[in-house]
Amino acid sequence: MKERASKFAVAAAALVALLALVETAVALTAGARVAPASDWDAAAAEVRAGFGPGDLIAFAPAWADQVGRAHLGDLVTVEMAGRSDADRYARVWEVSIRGSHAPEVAGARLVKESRHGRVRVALYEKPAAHVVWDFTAHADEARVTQTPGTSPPTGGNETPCYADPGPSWRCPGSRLERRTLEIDYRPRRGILAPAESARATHLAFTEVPLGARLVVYAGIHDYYARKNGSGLVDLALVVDGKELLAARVANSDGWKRYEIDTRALAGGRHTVRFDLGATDPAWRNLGFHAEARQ
Amino acid sequence: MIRVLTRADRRLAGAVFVVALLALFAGGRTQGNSRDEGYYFDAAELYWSYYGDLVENTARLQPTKSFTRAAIERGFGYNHEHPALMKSLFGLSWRVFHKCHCPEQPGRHPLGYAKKHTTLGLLDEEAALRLPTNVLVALMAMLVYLLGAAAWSRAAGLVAATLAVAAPRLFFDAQLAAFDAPIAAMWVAVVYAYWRALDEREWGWRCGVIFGLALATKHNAFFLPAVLGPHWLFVAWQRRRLPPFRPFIYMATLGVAVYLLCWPWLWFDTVHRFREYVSFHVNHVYYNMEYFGRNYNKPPFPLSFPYAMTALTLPVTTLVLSALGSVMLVRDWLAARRDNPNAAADTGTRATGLLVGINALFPMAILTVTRAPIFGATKHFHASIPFLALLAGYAVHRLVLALSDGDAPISRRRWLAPALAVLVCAPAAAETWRSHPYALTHYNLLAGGPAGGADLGMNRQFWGYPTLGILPWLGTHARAGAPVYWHDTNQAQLNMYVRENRLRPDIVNTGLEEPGVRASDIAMVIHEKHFNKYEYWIWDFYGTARPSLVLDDEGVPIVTVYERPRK
Repeated sequence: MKERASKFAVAAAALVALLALVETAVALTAGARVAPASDWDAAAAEVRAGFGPGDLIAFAPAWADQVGRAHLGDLVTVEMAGRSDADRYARVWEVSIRGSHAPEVAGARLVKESRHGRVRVALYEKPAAHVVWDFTAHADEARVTQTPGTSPPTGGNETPCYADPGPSWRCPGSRLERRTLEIDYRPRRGILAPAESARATHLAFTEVPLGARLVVYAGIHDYYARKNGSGLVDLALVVDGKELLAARVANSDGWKRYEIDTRALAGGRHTVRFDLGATDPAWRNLGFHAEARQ
Repeated sequence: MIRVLTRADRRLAGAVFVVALLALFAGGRTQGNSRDEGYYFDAAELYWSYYGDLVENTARLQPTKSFTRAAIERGFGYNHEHPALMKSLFGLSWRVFHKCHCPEQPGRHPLGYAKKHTTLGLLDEEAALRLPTNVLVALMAMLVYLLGAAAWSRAAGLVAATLAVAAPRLFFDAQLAAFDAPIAAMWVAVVYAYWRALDEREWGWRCGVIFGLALATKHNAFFLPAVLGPHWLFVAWQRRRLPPFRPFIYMATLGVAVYLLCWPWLWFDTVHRFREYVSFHVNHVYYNMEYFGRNYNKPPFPLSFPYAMTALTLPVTTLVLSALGSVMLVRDWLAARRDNPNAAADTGTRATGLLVGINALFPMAILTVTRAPIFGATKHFHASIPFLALLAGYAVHRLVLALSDGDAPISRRRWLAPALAVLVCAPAAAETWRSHPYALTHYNLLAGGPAGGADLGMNRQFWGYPTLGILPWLGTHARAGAPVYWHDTNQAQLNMYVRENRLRPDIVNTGLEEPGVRASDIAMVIHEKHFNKYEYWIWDFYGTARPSLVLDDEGVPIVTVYERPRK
């Protein structure tokens, strides 16, 4: 019995000692396992040398984004950083550490890769979606109005919202803006359109070229709004007077994607309107982005 | 059986106190100040001003002037959602020790000063304000040693004392003029006093006084009777007679008296104000806390939070030894009962193992039982750490006993205890050193360090304290009078940095939220998941997503700074 206890003590002490040595060594050498600025600089030089118009730069893991942008921020525009998806990009430069991969390269073809110390640079290629019209980019062309209740705009019942540079619009009880939204804690370039009490808001675009599909993203902007409000926001997409999408956007939706088949409308120019409203508008900061794609 | 402590033990306890105090004091020199400290810095000066007035009024033979409702409200009205003891001690320490330049810093103090204070002039202001916390935690380490050494062995006591302080998150708070480390220290002190009071009459009233001081430190202390009561019943069962009830009587009487004495705010309108205080904490606003990738800011909160956070932030060797110590304690207790099943009452027991075990668990379990909000990462259950350290100390004690049993040569017995103690304390010391000064970003070996914590989606930090790390850059890059958006850093924190000559006084704080970002030329975001929107505001208003500076901890961004591009 005593011998068994002694064996247990020796084994336990040996394991604890081994763990202590490993933990101490790992702690004391932690700094040496961090990618130094020189590795990032070398990686950035390679990306910069090969970067072309329409390329995307993605950092992995996501928490290394700020470090990556500190080295390549001149190439990462606000629009790129706040992209809804990577569909429009044919080439993706993945700059990564710790063996991580950016979700944007899933399914893409690896063209080349290189290591710069602890930073890996990889170039991927994939089919790119041709964007015919970007509603966020063309936000300054929108006509913004409001109507009472949930009634659709008929001309006579509309109150116009006044445009400011930015672009932004001053409505009676809210302000619509093109912004980098925080939806599901990620940056999303889009139009911020807070819901108002007893009014529906309409953004109308005329002479819009359409392709094979319309891709719409929508979600609730700002964690504080998601914490304090829980109502649903109604979002409708109307093309030439015909409703093609009727969605109800909730806190839990994140940046939800809707895809509408517009092959029947492709080639021509159309009037596209976004209608939004909420029966419980408190803290309902709707954000959305839409693209007409070939 | 309880050991009688010798002079050597008392010397060792003194050495533990001195080493812990020096380590905390040295660490504090490079530790950024936190949001809550900013409020407590101001409170400390305001509370001290009350006592200063009291001394002056007494000298003029008009002490009653200091006991009017108006005088009390002027002195203690600010930040009355927490008791006054620690803020009063911070103020006293500041008044005695700080190097005074107060008249040259108008607007940077909560009060105006026409003349320099006469002080000992030994410490800068921040160090003076933080000294009471340093001292209390060093005392905690000393008590942990005394408890471990008396209950088991010197090796147990020394290992426990070291592991109690060399815990990255507790060490972080132990440097600050805040309440979370002090209440952990007070918790240990109450438990120690109660433990002594089970056999020693004079510790009964001491337990009452210390409990009152604990209540006057932070509300966590209200839960102490719920831990001590069941333990007392267990001791009664083991002893087959009731142990002294004295500690509880003194806690209910002397403790409450000390509590009220330390908190003048409660002297008027007592019931209403106490209700308001309780209501503030029962209905506390829900802050944000990222936990395994999800941001929690309203109920239901994950019940696993305190246990998972402890498992991912304490040094792994400490955790393993604590678990081993718990198993050994239970095994030894069962063996003792098995070997002597018909024994009469065990009159000598204080059930030390049980007391340590339940105190290791209970501060964490409070969150589970009360469904309390989970903000503050680990700081609300720091009191678990010294008791987990004691369990680890027991494991070392038992291993040393087993390895140096009977037949082992004397030489082996001599070196074994110190060698094992040094070995098991080394990772804790190394991890604490590694985590400084960004311990709230630090995660342990199990998590994979700060980067592993970021991979897991754990809270990056809170309290806006890492701003200190960007001040040198700001000092050289900001133009004269530069408008700066400071994000989660409050004005009181900035005031202290100016008073300490760490921040240029000409740099302007543009204020909060969107107007603050719009008005700035330099803006920062202190990274927490819910703070991401502030970075996107900066992109929109500056027109760039390119940071000028990223402050990181082992590659994990903690503060990102942007400059508005020049046109």
